[in-house]
Amino acid sequence: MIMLIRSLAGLIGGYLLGIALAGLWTHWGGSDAERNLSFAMLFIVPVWIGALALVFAARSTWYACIALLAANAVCYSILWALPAIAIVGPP
Amino acid sequence: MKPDTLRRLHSAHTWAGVSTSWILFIAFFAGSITVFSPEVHEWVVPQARRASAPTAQDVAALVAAVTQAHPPARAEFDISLGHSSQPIASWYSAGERVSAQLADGVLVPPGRTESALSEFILELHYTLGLPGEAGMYLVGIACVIYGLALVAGLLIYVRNLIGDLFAWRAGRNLKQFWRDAHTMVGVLSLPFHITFAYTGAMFTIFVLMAAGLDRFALQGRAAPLIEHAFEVAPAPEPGGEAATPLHPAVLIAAAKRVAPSLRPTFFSYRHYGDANGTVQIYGQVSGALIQQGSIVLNSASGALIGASVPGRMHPANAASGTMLALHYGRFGGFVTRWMYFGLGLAGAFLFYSGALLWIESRRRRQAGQPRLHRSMARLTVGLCIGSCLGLAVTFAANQLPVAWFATDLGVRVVYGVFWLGSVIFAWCRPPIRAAIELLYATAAFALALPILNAIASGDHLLRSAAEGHWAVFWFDMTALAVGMSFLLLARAVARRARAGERNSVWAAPAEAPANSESEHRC
Repeated sequence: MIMLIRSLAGLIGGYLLGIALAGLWTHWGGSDAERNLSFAMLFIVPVWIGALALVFAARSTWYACIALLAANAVCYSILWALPAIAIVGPP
Repeated sequence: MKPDTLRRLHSAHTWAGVSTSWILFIAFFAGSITVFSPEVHEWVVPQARRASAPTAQDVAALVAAVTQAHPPARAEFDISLGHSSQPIASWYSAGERVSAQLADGVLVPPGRTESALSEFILELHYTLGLPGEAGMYLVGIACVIYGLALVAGLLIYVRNLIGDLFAWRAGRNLKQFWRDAHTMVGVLSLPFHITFAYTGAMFTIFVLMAAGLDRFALQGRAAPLIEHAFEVAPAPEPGGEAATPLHPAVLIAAAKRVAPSLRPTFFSYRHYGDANGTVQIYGQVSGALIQQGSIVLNSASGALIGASVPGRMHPANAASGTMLALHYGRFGGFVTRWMYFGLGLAGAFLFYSGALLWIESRRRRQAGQPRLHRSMARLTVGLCIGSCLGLAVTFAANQLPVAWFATDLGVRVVYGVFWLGSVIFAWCRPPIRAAIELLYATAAFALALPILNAIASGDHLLRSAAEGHWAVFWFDMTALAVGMSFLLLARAVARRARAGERNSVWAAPAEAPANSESEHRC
């Protein structure tokens, strides 16, 4: 059961984290958003697998879930807040 | 690394491997066959063996016939050089895709030139043959979990990598033997597995990643960027001014000025006869990692509009082309493809041996193994060996004089019946008996393939060699080698049943009477 919870946490949290980091790179990777996005899509899977591995390596399942949730919250806050207050323009 | 962390990583490696072993076994076994897709096609479709390649004049004649007989098709139609001596045109008519080729100057439905079986094996590789998108996403998620198994496995074994690599202890301890074999194959083929896990996930769940980026991260701005990144040239708008299109030979020459090694395989015409009309010429290029490319030209003037060939590619196309080349071994020659074939089979062995290890390492000392372990053994045998048997039978059925077996539906039905039949058979039999019988059946069908081919087409081994049909010759030889391997495996498993640990689920039921009551389910 613990393995199943960890797998689901890693699969969902890792996927969302990969997407968020790719979104951040598309905003800030350089002036050419199309090229940024092409590059950013390449590291979604490694981030996803890395997050999954960290969830399984963590001592406690809850600690892993909360850490992943926090990482996602930080990334999505930056993604949604900064364009809204016009610090970063649309890609 | 702390022992506690190592223990957790070991659990992760086991969990990830066991939970995806069946999916990845089928994907790897089918994938190793897709490496030789052109050769499989030639074996499956005997008509393709003696077909000469179509010429630019054949393309011109077909284009003229289609555009005169079906004027609405001028807006959009394709010409495939395919595997026949005559090219095939296809276009949409009343929402339906229509295909035709020329026979004595008349448009007729194309003969049997495409192989439903080689298409199906490719589909089996990335969707397991499951309908819709579900199979593709399932394989994609399995690739991500497989990535976890690789990362965890690497972290566990990194300290003793070299020591473990050469510690193949073949002796009385069978569990140790399987563990050493599993580690050795895993370590030796690690770069290949990393490439497969990564590129496999990228291909199968690209849509999920693009949709996630579009919806969650970039609020609808990712889709147009992605679409534009993969576009070789913008879609043409008809200008309304008539212009005579150039002869295909002239267009090919114009494309070759951009990519001299381009070998055209496919033409995609848009707004034929219009001054703004285009033709996108797809083909194979040599001397580069990415061996496929396309060039968009104005069909009336031959002017270059866009190109996606090595050296002139958008990063998105370059990345996907590189991944495709690395995933299917398309960058190399025959030796590379044989290496990929061997590594693919070794990968299938890795997943099968991983599942066996899981069952063996949980074996109780007393007779009567838990229901979970027996079920796991039955499913491993049925799903994995069943998929090998299903493919062997589908190849055999393809050579029978019943055309339906070679159709898309026929191939799916034959494979599905034998695969699911094997799962039910393995569920009803003691696992070891089912394994032996399914292995013998697979061996028999694989060994029969060269004979069936010789009967159906007359191309026996000696004739194929004498006439230089090396694809057919090597296919037959490989079928014999694979058949012999399955035969030897069946004999080895039978020996294991007689001489192995009595309490194992792999023991012959006669030697483990305590199990026998619950072994026969049907």
